[in-house]
Amino acid sequence: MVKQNRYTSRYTSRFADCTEIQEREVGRPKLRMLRKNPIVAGQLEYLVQPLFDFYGVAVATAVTKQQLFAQPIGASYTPSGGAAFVKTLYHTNLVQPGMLDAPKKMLVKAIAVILRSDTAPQDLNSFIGTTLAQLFISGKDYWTALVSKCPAGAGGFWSGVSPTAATLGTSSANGWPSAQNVATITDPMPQINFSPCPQRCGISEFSLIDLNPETGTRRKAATSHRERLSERTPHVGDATVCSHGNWNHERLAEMTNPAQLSA
Amino acid sequence: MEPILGQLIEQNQNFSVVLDPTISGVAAFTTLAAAPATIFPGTGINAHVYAEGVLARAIL
Repeated sequence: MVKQNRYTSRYTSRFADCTEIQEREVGRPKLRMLRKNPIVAGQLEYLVQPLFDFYGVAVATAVTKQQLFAQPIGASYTPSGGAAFVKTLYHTNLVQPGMLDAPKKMLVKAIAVILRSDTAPQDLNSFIGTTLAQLFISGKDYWTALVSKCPAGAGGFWSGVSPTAATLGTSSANGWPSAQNVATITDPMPQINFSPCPQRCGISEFSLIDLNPETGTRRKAATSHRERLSERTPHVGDATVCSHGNWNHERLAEMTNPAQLSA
Repeated sequence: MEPILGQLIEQNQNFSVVLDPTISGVAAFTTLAAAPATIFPGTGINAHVYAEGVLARAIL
């Protein structure tokens, strides 16, 4: 297609502003778009999306040690004491065994262990109190804690009603059942050149973590205490940083007082 | 010191979460039976482990 300049001549056709297509494009005017690779090279989009996997033990069965994220969707899984089944998206969103499919990356901020709400209270208490959870990445452990610390509520939550034994209704959860009740493994802090906001394209940096200590943050801090990532950070200039914490949304902080900047 | 924003799982890096209820110093507990004598029927353990965080993927 050829885009013509409408100001080329005052005698041009009144249709000069229209796009001219070539003979081979008749009936398929978007041919060129179809030929392009839809993957934007060198750029990734970020979204708040957890990875999850399933752990199962049947009734009247001794609990066992299990390694999760080892088998993806479509693989067979056998709970301890139970029958084998093929994993679906309900059980995991992993599509490759043991690793992310290219070009995905994941910045893990919290580990949460969620038990089905019909778990018997005795089983709940035993499981969260005696089970150790460990996050391994490339053979190294990055998080080790009791399941009762994931979520950070550190304990089971159980509720029930029993007008009679026959109408007993119960519900149990690992910690206070709140979406915010997870054991974050990061704290709110200055973050530069990274936009992990939901459904937002990050186009500034390919790396998830900015490692340049000389980039100024100049986040507003308490009196006589400046917050800079490095002493080499200049004292003047603009000052807007993003911090990301337990709320999973972006907050802006600004530094406006030069006296505090140079304090 | 650089801030810790989380633990990054790069492409082609093996990762896992291990749940181990067998190292508490006592024998691993046995889940309740489906029809116990008490009023709480056992359903086993059905748990999901979530790695919460930010996922980076291709722009399609």
